[in-house]
Amino acid sequence: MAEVNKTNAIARPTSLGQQVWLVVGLRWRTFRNGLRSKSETMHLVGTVVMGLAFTFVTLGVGVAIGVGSYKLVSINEFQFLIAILWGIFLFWQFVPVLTSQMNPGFDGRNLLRFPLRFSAFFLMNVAYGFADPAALSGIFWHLAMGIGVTLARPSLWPWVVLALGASVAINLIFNRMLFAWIERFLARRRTREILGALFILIAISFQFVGPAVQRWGGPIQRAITDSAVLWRVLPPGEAGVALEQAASGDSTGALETIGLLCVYAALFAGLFATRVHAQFTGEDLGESAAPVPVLRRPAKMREAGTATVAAAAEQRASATDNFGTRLFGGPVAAIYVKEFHYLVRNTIMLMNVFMPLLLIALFSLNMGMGSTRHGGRPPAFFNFATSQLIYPVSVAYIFLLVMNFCPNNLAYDGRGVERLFMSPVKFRDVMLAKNLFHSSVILLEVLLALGMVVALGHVPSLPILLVTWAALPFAASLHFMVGNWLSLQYPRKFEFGIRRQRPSGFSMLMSFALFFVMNGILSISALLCLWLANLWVLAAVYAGLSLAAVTVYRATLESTSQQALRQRDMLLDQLAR
Amino acid sequence: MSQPAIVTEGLSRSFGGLVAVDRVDLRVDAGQFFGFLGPNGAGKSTTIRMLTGLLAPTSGRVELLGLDFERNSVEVKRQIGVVPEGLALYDRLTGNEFLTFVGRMYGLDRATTAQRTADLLDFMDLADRSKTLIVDYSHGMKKKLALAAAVIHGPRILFLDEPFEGVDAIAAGTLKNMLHNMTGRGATIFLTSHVLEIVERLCSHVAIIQKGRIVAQGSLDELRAGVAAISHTGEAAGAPAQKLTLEEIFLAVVGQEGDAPKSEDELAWLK
Repeated sequence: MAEVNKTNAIARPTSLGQQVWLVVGLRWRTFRNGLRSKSETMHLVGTVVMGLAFTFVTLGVGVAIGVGSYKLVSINEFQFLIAILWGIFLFWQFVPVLTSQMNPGFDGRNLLRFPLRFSAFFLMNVAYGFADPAALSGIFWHLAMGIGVTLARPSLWPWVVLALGASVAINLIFNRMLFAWIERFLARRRTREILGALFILIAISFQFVGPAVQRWGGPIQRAITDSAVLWRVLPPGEAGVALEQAASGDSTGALETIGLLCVYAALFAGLFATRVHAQFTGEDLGESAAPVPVLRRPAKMREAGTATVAAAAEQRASATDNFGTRLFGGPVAAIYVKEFHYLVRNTIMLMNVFMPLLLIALFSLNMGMGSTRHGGRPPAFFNFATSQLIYPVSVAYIFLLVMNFCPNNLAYDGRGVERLFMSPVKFRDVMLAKNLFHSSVILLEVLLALGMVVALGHVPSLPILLVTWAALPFAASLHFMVGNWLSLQYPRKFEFGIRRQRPSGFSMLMSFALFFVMNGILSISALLCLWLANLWVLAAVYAGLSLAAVTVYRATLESTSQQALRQRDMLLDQLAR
Repeated sequence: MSQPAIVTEGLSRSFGGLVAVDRVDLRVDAGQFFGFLGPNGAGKSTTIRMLTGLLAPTSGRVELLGLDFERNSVEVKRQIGVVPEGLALYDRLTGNEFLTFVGRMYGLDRATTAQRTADLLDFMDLADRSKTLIVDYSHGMKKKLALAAAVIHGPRILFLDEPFEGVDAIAAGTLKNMLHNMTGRGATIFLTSHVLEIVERLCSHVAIIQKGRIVAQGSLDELRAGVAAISHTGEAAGAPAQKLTLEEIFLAVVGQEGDAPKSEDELAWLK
């Protein structure tokens, strides 16, 4: 009986450590069990290979920072340590924005059904910051700096531990806070618009830096020198200041500076905790609209409703389907229109797709300003670069970002993938529709970019235009071929409204490989033709490559139907579960 | 004798070492309202997924409307409608856009798709929410939309995996009428449900699957007679053979091969 009573007790509260340990165990088992599938194993392989490349860069920079810090401290130039710490800070905060697809996201909402403490939930949110490649690099560089400083001045080691440890904490917490709040702002339409407008204003204002320096160079330089004190009191530079104070024997000052760093850390942690607490209490940052109350219509209206809805449906169908229907057959058009709806409703994808145009416009504007700085008679090379190369470079940039979605083109279909398998449609048509939609987006942007560069006075010559356009089908066909294969072989499900989602590591690795192969072929062809000093020949070579690539693409497209059938179980398991 | 709508021969599916469906032979005649029953994990969903092209069989064959599924998958899919377990919705489309998408996938022209979309949204009481994204629909509304998508092309066979789960009583009544009308016009309906009362009221024929194998198949009267014969006394669960409910038949059939009922002493800590 006593035994029964013991087991009869309701669940006891577990300690913070136990809860964190349980979640760590859960994550480990999820990871380990995931390796049972081939696609997850290949994802791990891809991630490890790319991680190795990143590690080499990190190690190289780390050695430079370590040696540099040693030299700087040896000659008592501590102010340069502050500059290095600012550099690490900027890298840590901004590289994750640019490489968001490589970072693991933390979505702890599933854990909230358990009696999890807020402190455990908060700790796990913070700890996920360590899993970021930029964070790992930043920590390693702090370590390198610490070793360099300690070797140069062994007596400083306690201060190195305190100051650089606090700096790591600041960087980590600031990064987590920054992303948490950006996600919050991006999740609501109004704040998203404000944030977008702010981003554009900042981007535009950068374009005026050059002309402003030209006109008010002296006063600006003085202002920067005068504001040096500001760089020292802001968090990234504080650790350097503390080391400088400790080295000069001002232990009290150094302690005060480290104390100030801790205050900053607490402030950022507080702001981050506000966000985490909102999530902890059930906040949902999905992009779906708030539920609309259903208004029951009177019976008469309901009867009349059919005709009204039919007319409206007819109108809407005309508006959305006409373009696709005229170009393609039924199912291909249907998927094309669906892709259009999914793009315009996916803010994050939409921003990624159309941001290149904005950046090209700003870049072109800046180049235009740059050329006028030379009194209206720019140097010959500068003139050539701005007028002739700006368009091909812009097209390459557009291509690079838009094609980013190709290696995982079923990512947002989710459970809809089942519908594709249930429908009387071959997967050849599904992939064709998706590829056509991607092509349309690229074509639209390429034409808009041409309009923009021409409007800004950088009219490309006819051979340059032909060379650029002739290379596009080649590059697109190669990407579609490889992208379709990867999408069916190593798919990854993406959720709407969540920023940091990454495709399979193996897909990313293959995309990089494709990028180098494609650019290798195009560059070798370009070099040969430049040697002949004839761009027309280059255009013809690119056109030939394109023709060959499109032919091969058509042949491989047919095989996607069989590949999809072979991969059906895995596709449904990965995307529709 | 009319051509059967659904025929399976030795249909099997294994997942690693686990045999989920084991040599299933089914025959469903055209126009039948067919109920497919079984306890959790018996192989119902796996079977329905193989019948609708969502899962490849390990062995055996599926023939729908006289066509071999593997060799004529596109033609077969054109003539069937499916409400799968997960509903297979594109939840970032509106209800109207989704039905338009599905209609076009089945090759309907634009005008027909628009007309049927409007009719179905109105019939399913979703016309008010035709512009709302599916992600904002309730579970019952999603189910009704999935059913609308399954019938928009006028299928000859309709596969329904738990179609009434989460649907309110009024809507369920409307849907049952619609399904009865469909069978009246010659369509075949293949339905799985855990609610045995619904199956008993709707279905003329039933098959019961247990641990991947068909353990009973036939009309309700045939099953009643079979259970009565097994019990030797003409009674099962204390009721006369002709009055046996489907639940009693189910328990009698599954209980013979299933695990023994759990005793009251188990999970004693659960108050």
